[in-house]
Amino acid sequence: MAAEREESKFNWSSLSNYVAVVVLVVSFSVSLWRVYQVQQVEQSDEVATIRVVHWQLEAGFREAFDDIARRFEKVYFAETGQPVRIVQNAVSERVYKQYVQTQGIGKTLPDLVQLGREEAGSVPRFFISNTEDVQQPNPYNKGTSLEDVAWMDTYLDGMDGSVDQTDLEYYGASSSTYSIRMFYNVELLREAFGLDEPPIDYREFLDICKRFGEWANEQGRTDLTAVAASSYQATVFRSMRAATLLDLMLENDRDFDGNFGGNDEVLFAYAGGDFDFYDERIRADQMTVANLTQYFSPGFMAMDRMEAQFRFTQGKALFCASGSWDAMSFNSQVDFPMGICDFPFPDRQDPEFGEYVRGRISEADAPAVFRLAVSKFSEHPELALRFLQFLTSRENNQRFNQLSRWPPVIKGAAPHPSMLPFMRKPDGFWTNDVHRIIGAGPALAAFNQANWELVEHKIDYDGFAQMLEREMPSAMAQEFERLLNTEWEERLAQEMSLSHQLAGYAFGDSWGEGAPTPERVESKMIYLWEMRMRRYRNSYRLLEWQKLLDAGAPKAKEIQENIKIDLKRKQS
Amino acid sequence: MAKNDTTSRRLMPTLLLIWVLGICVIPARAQEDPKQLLGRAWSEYGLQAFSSADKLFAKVLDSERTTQEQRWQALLGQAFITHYQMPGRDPQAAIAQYEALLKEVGDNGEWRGQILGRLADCYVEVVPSQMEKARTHYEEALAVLPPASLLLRETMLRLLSSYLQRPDRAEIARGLQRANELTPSFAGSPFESVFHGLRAEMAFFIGDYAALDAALDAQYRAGISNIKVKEVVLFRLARINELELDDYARAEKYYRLLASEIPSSQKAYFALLRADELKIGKLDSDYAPPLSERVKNATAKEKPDGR
Repeated sequence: MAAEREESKFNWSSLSNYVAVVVLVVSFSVSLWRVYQVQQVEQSDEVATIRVVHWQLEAGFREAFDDIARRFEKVYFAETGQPVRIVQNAVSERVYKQYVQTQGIGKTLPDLVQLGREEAGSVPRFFISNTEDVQQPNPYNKGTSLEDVAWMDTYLDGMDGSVDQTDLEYYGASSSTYSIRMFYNVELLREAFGLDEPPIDYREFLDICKRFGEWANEQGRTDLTAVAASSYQATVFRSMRAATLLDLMLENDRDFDGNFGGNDEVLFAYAGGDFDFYDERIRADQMTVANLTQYFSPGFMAMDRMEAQFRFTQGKALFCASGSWDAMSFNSQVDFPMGICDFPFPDRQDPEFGEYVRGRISEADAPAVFRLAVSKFSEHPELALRFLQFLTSRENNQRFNQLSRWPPVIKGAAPHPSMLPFMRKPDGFWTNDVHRIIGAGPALAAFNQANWELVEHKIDYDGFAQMLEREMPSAMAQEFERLLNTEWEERLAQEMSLSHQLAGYAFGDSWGEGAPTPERVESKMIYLWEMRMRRYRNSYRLLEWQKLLDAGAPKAKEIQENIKIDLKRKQS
Repeated sequence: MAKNDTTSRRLMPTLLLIWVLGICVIPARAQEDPKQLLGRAWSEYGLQAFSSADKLFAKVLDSERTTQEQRWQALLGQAFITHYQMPGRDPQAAIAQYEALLKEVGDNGEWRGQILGRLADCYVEVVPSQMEKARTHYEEALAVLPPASLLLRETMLRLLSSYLQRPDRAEIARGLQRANELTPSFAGSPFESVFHGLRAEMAFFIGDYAALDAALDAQYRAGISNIKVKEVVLFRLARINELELDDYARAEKYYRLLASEIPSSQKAYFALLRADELKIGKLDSDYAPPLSERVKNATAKEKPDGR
């Protein structure tokens, strides 16, 4: 009996090993067969294949793209009698930049590549410009009111987002746009307050958030929170700010262009004592968000973005904020009725901030996204361009964006009904970062540090202002130095581009094949000079700075003490 | 050993074939048309592949088929690389290359003008800059460039921009004066709008708002291709007229132009609101800092009797 038992045990063990080996072999064979099939399709000489690579992994996006791709295949076959195949490949955003760079260097980039994550300056190297094409009507708009309209003018942004700043040519075409909105759990809202929609008034909204916490405690549902948030969402919620800084910006707008913030005017106004961080308008701007963050989930700064979103989709939070790109994902993940609404920003009647509010912030300049460009290594560049035109005709752009649930980018293309809350709202004013002179400099770092402390309620607004006032003299000194250097460097970089055009103008006709047309060279030279005109501001800046020092402005003196470079040398 | 010999024997025909092909192909490459080489060299230059461009320019110079003008072009290309390549640009070193080329081209106007212009650029860019020397070279270039050449206007722009480089109000004012002298040369030229834009910068630097208004208006009327530049120009015109020149009718006009010509601008909504307010004589806006106080202060400062 014992021997039989041993034999039985042995057989069972062997069988399980055999099964594992068989499963492994079958799986491997199936994988090989799939790879072989894909290669057969892609390498078939009879069918032109357009490979598309992008990083959009959001729910519904790839399905929508596939739908348009299959439609194009049919339409193209009907038009030409030639078969074509569109194959998409979504690559994770984390490795996308490296993917494009390495494939570009290896000259193996697919036919159509989503732009937006590539190395600066690499677009002209790896992609084909479509400047001439965007000035012609999109053939797939035939029979519509856009039939005779230049392709670029069919875009809400005039295709501004397709211009590459390195060589000022158009590359590729975008298919969507985006906006930031608030998502809410209708079920919880009904349960707690008997409401189907959240209030649009800022104060009522804050009150709802406060009362929701109290209601959850009363119900013993301590896992619930009013707002699912992380540090990422704290930034996203900055979209709920109203235009409280407009007066401050216009008062200090020395060159009358309306832009104050992220430029030299911040330095002059601050150093001249024309504003400081105790300004009530800045207080209103900052506290609009800080008033809300007290209802964020505890420890939100330590959470990551996905964690916060998961909390919302699990029905553990009343509100969450994100961009239109997440709408479909949220929709597919939640098992409760979900609503989407605009932010309840403070209005002119607001008891605390109303005095400074001029209105909402305009979304007129919402950027175009999902921009695909034709790679230089495409075997079928004309076909790839044709697919882009198909994708961005009014009819197909509407279809694609209705399926993917993104806001369309072509004039007259209607969004999916559920995306109506995401449509851009152009009526409104503008705002800017009044705490910095340049992009990612020390003043921004100082602001971020103080802002995190404020939104976590570790300090009050006066504490925030004190922190900034303490850091700004040194931070602004460094940013001023960088600003002076940057202008010089940018002008020199532009000088290089301009020298190429000068050569093209003088000798282009002697370059044989591929020589630029005189019209193209001329328009590029004009464009470069238009950009260049405002890159001679250093002398003005030094003049104004000296004026402040001569006037004995205390903050100017303090900043001057922190300046390390020799401004006199800069003057030469 | 025997096995190795067999392998070698088998490889012999292949190696022979490669050698024959090499013999045929290498001269073909060496005899590449200088015209094509120059096209490729400038294309590489445009892509900022400076070492490839440099090698191609060197090939042009080595080729027996290169004409004199092609040689000058290759030499100028190499000087451009020294002058503009980033990183490693060296305008000081480029001066010698341009000067040597200047001797070669003799009295050829377009060539001479192009080289003198670049030489002047070098004197602007060296540290410390030699602005007077640069201006002399720009003026020499203007004297030799053909009147119809776009390079002539482009060099004028460079000359004018040299007046914007130093924080010296008197020098900038001289630049504005020089710009006024050059105004007729730009009428109807593709660079007319840019020229007025430079004039506007000079006027702004020295706080001459009437001149700034005139220059910006001329810039707008000449046609601006960049929509962002156009937006800034129209907004500035509206604001200067509203805040500095007290010409509210003109301010309203420019606000409306901004809203109608650039509806995608974030400022279009404000522009329309403000235009409507100005139309009904409302100085103190609901959307901007009050104007009446500013007007009162400005009037008080300008009392002729000095009170």
